[in-house]
Amino acid sequence: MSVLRVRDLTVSFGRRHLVAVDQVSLDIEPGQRLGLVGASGSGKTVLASTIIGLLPDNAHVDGSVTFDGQELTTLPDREFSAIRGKDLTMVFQEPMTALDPTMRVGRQAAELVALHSESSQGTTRQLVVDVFDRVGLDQASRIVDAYPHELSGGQRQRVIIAMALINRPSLVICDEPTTALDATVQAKVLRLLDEELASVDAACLFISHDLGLVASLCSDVAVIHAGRIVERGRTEQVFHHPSHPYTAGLVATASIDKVRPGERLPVIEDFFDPSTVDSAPPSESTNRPHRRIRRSR
Amino acid sequence: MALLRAATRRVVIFLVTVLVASAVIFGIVQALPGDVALATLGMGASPESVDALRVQWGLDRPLALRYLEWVVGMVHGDFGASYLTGQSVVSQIGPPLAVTAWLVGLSMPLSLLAALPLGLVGAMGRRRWFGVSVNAATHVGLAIPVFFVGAILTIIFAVKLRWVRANGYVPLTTSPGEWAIRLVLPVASIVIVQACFLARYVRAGFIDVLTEDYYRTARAVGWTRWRGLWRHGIRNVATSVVTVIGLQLASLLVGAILVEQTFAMPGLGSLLVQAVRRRDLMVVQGVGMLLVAAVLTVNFLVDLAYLAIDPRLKRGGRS
Repeated sequence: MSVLRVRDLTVSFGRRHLVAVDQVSLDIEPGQRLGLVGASGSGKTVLASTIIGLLPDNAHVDGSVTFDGQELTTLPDREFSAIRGKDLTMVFQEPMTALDPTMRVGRQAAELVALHSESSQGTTRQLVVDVFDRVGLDQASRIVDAYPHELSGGQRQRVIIAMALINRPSLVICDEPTTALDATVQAKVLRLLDEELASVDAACLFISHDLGLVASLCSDVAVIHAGRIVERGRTEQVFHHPSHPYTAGLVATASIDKVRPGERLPVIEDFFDPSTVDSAPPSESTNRPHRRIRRSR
Repeated sequence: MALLRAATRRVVIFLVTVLVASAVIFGIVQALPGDVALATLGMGASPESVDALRVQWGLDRPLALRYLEWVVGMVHGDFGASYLTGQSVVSQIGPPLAVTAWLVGLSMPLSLLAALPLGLVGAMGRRRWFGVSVNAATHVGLAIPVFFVGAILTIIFAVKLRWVRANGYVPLTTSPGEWAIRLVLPVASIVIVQACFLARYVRAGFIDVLTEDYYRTARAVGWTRWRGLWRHGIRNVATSVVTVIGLQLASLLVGAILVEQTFAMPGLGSLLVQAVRRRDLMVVQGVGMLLVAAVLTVNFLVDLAYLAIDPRLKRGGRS
């Protein structure tokens, strides 16, 4: 059975029902890693927020999201909260702001354990230290007593990854987990994520606009454009033989090393004319975060 | 060592402020139009008798000398004596201070206790009927003057229902029952207005937290909406609310006069107004100095509270 099953998911916002995610269907099998690539505003983050149930109040959701066979879109908050952080976790994009600045990081990680189990305080601390140690935080026993502002960006992201893994989830959603980090730290964090996902045998929905990252981490990939999945398949298949012109454009624009000096850099529009395709962005698109939005119904 | 230096700096600032404040208070009080001798004897008094009284009270001596006497006296704990009654200022301030201290000391914590849930509900439901109505209610509460609230409470609970008393004050040591029964309405009046005031800051603080990434993280790790907001929002709210409480405490010490007048309580504000009316300048100066000390103390406590609330302030660095 799929760990995650999304069917005909449509998410729209506000009174005008501006659509950010449009008729999306996808499955993730246990232990599988699915990369979700697309440009800014293509609906990646909205899709992730919908799955974990943290959409803003003005969102409307249609369709179905089932996790371990349980329908999530209609699940009451109290029951959903019991799943969040335990079986379904998330690694966020912004390590600098995703941790509570007024609370020691060890305590924030310990909350996850306390919220989802009845284990005693004493063993929880040791568990947190162990997990911090595993995600490569040197002197983990000291870092648990640090406040977020005392840690570097890379350290904070390791804390966040540790928090996402501490309860041995079956699915981890990673929303551009390395975007805010510099390149050397990025590579380390990514390797860590790779190892730790494997060690707890968690499936992963890995959201990124960086095709290289997705290729190195994910067996499968889905390409999202204007709220729709335009292509889906094995990673090497999709990247080497893209069938959708948008994917071809994404791949070409990511391969800057193939551009000869003096030559113009490729842009998506060289491959893909939005106006000719069914999933065209709307003429009334606004400056909101979800730029490619369309009126539904 | 850093702590010691900070403490020394505090004490120096405190002393300098008190000294400057004493000069300002003394100056303003002396500049007040009217004269205690004239006010005592009445407009019809002969100039000779007024002058005689001024000499008797030492008012004919130079300003600087009187100021110096006053300051030196205060250092020794002597705040002077009332011109009119000859009673020492300290003994005159004592009983009214107790009244006001009870009034303010009881109503501020209760206001906060009421404001926290009001603000929390107002923030969480800011786009829904229950939050909007709570917010509207706090606006209404804020718009009603405290003496009007007092009057309405008096009519309902003291006149119609006769549950409590609405006039005067009985010291706790004399009769705890009477003390309580007379404090209920004045305290309630202040609480209603102050809670509405504080609730707006609590609400704004929680709304800030709702948009923070760390609130989203709290939700993602399994906190339910309300408990997550409380747990990870209360410190953020505390920072702004502590600031406001500090300001309110200071102004309430004198501002309680409206309530004191409504309920005929002999508090600090009443004492001050009475003393100004009679040109009893020593008492006015004494109350002024007391308020300066109170404000400085409250500010100091507020700063301490910041340190306890936000760990980023301890090392002065934030990223």
